[in-house]
Amino acid sequence: MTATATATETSKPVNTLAQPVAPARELRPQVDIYENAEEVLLLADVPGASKESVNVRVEEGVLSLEALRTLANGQTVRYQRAFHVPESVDPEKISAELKHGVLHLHLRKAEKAKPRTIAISAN
Amino acid sequence: MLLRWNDLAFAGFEPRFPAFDALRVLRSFDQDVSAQRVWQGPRLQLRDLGEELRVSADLPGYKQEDLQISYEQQTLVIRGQRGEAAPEGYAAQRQERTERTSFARKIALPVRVAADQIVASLKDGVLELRMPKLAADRPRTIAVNAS
Repeated sequence: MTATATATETSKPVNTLAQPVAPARELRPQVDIYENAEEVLLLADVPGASKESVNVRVEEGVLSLEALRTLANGQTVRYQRAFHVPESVDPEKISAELKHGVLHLHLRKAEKAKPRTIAISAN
Repeated sequence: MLLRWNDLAFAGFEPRFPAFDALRVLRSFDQDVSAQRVWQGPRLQLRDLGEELRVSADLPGYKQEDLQISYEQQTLVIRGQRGEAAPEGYAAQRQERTERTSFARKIALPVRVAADQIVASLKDGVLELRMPKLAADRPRTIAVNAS
């Protein structure tokens, strides 16, 4: 994987929860992944999920996202998906927002990974 | 156990409507795996609460102004179209969501509802429609007369 490669999905779900949770239906949210010089932007469809339930973490190069939703019949749905993230992403600088049932994850790139323009001085 | 997206579609079904849109649901499951065919619409759920029917639809990313809902002759039509989701200045690496930018779904309701009393709300990407049944179509208890 090159430094500029974007997040790639892991082959299996990664369970990062420290404690076991009550049985829940699991769903794999659909995602879009975008990239520019500054960041990788990941959008995930998590309709009905509550803001408080969103859990995003990066551990050993794996980004895992999780969110919970309670259905009208009381059943809990767990949205869960995990991705390998490139080394260029700074795990300390991840921000998340939830808008209209879509989770927006901003994965900022580390300073050294950003492209840089070097001025050439004429002599 | 990992359940697939469309397993959910069956979760809240009342036994009264076992055949509701089952084929459509199975087809759209197919699309979820291949992602190459056209998306036919959001997951819909129809519930009969006795006095009213409720329809809910998962519409992440859709806003109020993106949706158009109409009811005529016991048929509910939900259309949606949202703007291009690709943010400006970014290169797309993966797009599963953006294929889902428009849809039209038609739902034949099992009973008549009061068209002027239908209430629609959109919260956290979930559309919910509350449709009170016409008085004539509400459940009633029939007393048995002793002879």
